[in-house]
Formats: sequence, structure tokens, C-alpha cells
Amino acid sequence: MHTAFLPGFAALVPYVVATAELDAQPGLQMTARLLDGPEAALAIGAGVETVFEDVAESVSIPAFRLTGR
Amino acid sequence: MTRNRFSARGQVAIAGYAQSPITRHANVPLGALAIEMALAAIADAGITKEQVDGFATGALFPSAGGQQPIDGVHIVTSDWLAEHLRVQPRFLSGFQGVGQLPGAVILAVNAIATGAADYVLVHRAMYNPPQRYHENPMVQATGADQWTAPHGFWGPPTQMALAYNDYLQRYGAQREAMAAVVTEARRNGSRIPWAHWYGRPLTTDDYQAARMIADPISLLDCDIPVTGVGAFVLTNAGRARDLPNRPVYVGGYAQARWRSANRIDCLALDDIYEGGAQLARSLWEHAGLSGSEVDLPQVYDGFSPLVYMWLEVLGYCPRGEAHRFVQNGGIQTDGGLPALSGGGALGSGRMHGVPQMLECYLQLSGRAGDRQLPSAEVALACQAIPNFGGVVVYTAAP
Repeated sequence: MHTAFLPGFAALVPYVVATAELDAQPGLQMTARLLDGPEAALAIGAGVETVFEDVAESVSIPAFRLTGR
Repeated sequence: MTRNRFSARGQVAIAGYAQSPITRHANVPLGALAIEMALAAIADAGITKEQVDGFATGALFPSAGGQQPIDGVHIVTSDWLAEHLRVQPRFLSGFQGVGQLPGAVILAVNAIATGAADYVLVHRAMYNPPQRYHENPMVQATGADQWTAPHGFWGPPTQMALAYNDYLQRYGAQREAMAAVVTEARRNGSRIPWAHWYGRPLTTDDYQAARMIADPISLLDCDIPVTGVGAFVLTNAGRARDLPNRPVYVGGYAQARWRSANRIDCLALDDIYEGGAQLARSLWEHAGLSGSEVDLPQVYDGFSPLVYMWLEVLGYCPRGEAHRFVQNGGIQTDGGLPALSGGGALGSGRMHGVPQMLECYLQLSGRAGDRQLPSAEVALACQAIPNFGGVVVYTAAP
């Protein structure tokens, strides 16, 4: 993403969002930020794991990180 | 032939039209522009406003900015327009899905074919707000938004970027190939006096230099937000033949709303192809023809990758090949398939299907002036996304 359409994202531009299919339920997809950044080698089908970002006091949201698989 | 064949094929026709200048911001309220265009279309069709007894539109305000649209300001509904034209319609309708203009035309066609109305005004009014189009000040997300907004995934360009990125990687396509689409749309739009981009074609270098919005979607892969109104008068074929303009007949239509379960983002490439394939099958059955019989397939281009996807689902090139097809002159109006001859959204501005429908009407009625194509008998107008949109087939003969 090179444009921040929502408050709070301007400082993060450029950032990466990804859609990942959950191992636990094939077909179920989830969207989140990919924390590896836009310079990472990105390819459709790459494996990710879920991590949590603390974005505010008592607010944590899931994000993805490449696993190298 | 099949139960899906359109029984009212050739029984309803477009009798007249009006198109406002397409500008970034109008100097009159949207409602005033809509009234002006409605009256102009009625006059063009050779009837009086008292004869109009039906209205149809799709009034969606497609910004992701979270505004509450005000009727007559941000949108213009059928109810608002009928009330302010001071007429008493028998039939008032609004299409509320995506693919608003085909949706509205289909409502109008069915009303006329069944005798629910004799003359239906179909309009589409588009408004460009003063703030950035999809910028949303929300600080809390509820409902389905909670799955996307907290991650910075927001707005149509972002959704389109996912499917387009999938396309590029899956088929080994280069972003640069899209210059053939965008420059063709702009070249055609530059010849249309009411288009936002009138007199302003685009070079390949300009396209390549555009800033990125949601990679791989750049600013010039998006149609530009505009204010404008298009209006059409539809009636039955018999009445249309007694009116001044050559009628353009409705030959069939199809609509789609298809996505796989468990997906928050509606624009997944597999969904587009699967829903689009169903749409195309339904369209050819309904209209009783095949894609090769269409002289003028006006594909939808609100985002440039949709041109690839419509060309492929309608069968004008194999799946995954549109990026090569357009680079080889496949959609050049001179010598190729005139798929963007009306300028589309990229060449006209964000008019949500009006340029496609208007081009079908102008070419088939012989009213395209110095842009008139030598032979155009069968046309189609697409809007939105193949799995979330609509298509109407128009014919010069009933």
C-alpha cells in the first residue's frame, strides 16, 4: 500500500497487506499486514505465520510474517 | 431454444439520450444536473415529460469514505428525480446491487416489456466529493470492516490490487503491458467532447510514470472521480419506431453476484473467473448469440485490469492472454476489437457504465458523428466486475 486511506497508516506507508488461507480450515481466508515489508521476496503461495502487534493500550491485532516455507 | 432465452428480445428500445459534461466538480448541484439531463433526454427522444411514466436508476455512491449520501446532492434516486420533474410515474425503481446501470436498464426493460410502463427514464448521476474519494476518518471498525480496516486494507483500489497481483504472477504478465489499455481508452476519450479527458490523450511514458496507489494499481489504473449525469429514454419497439431517432434494441442481458465462501475481500481472481464464466454463459443463452457475433463489446474499465478480465470471460482471448492481446493491437479501435471505443471510464471519467452504454447507443443508432464506425450491428455494455456486475446486449435490428 502506497496510500493511507485510513487514520493511523500514513506513517506506515509503504506497507504490505496479504490474504492468507488458514491451515486449520482450507478455503477460509484472512487479511492482515505482512510485517516483512515491501522489500521482502513476495510470492503468491508463500507460507506465513500469525504474530500479534500491540497497536494501542490493550489493543493487539494479528499480523503475518513470512516463514520461509 | 433454452428456457433462459430472452422472450422480449428486440421488443424494447432506446429512443433518446442526454449526457452532461463530465467534470471533476460541477457548478450546479447534482440534482439540478440530473433534472437538466432528464429533460434533455426526453426532448431528444421526441416526447414530453408527461409521457414518462417510469423511472429506473442505480443510485449507489461508490465512495468508501463513510459519508451518508444525501439524495439530490451525492446521489439522485428515481424517487427524487420523478418528484422534482413534477411527474406522476406508474413505475419507480432502483437497482441496489453492483453493476448499477445494467441493473437499472434491466428493470426498465422488464417494466416496458410487461406493460408496467410505456416510457422509462433511466439515469445515472455520479458525484465527486470535495475530499479524497476513499479516505475514511473512522477510528473504530465494526461489522465486516473489522476484518480489513485495522490492517490497513481499505477501499476498491486495494481490493483490485490483490486480484491484479494474482493475475500478473499467475500469467507472467508485466505491469507495463497495461499501457496499451489505458492509452487506448484515453485516445478515444480525447475525441469525445463531454469526456473529462477530452483533448488530453495519454502517452505510454505518462502511464509508466504514474504514482502507485496500491501496488500494482497506480493512479492511472483507476478511473478519475467525476461529477456527471447520463440519461436515456426507453420505450417499446413499436413506439420507438414512430419517434425521431433510429431505435437501438435490447437483445438480452445477464447479471452476476458470485463469490466463494469465507472471503472478506470480494475481488479474488478465481472468483472473478468462475463468476464471470457463469455470467457469460447466461448472457449468450439469453441473447441467443455468441461473442463472435458482437461487433462492439464495450468492456468495463473502472480499474484497468478489469479490461483483461472482461475480455477473457467473454471469450475474446484465452484466459491469461489478454495482456498479450492488448499489446498486439487487439483492442485498437482502428483494426482491433472496439472494446474501449467510447473511451470507457478511463477515458471519460468515473461514470459507472454510462460511457459503455452510451457508445453502444451512439454507434448502433448512427449518431456517433465523426467517430461513427463503418459497421456496428450488435453491441454489449458491461459494468463492474465479471462476478459482481451486469451486461446488456444492444442490437441495431429488432
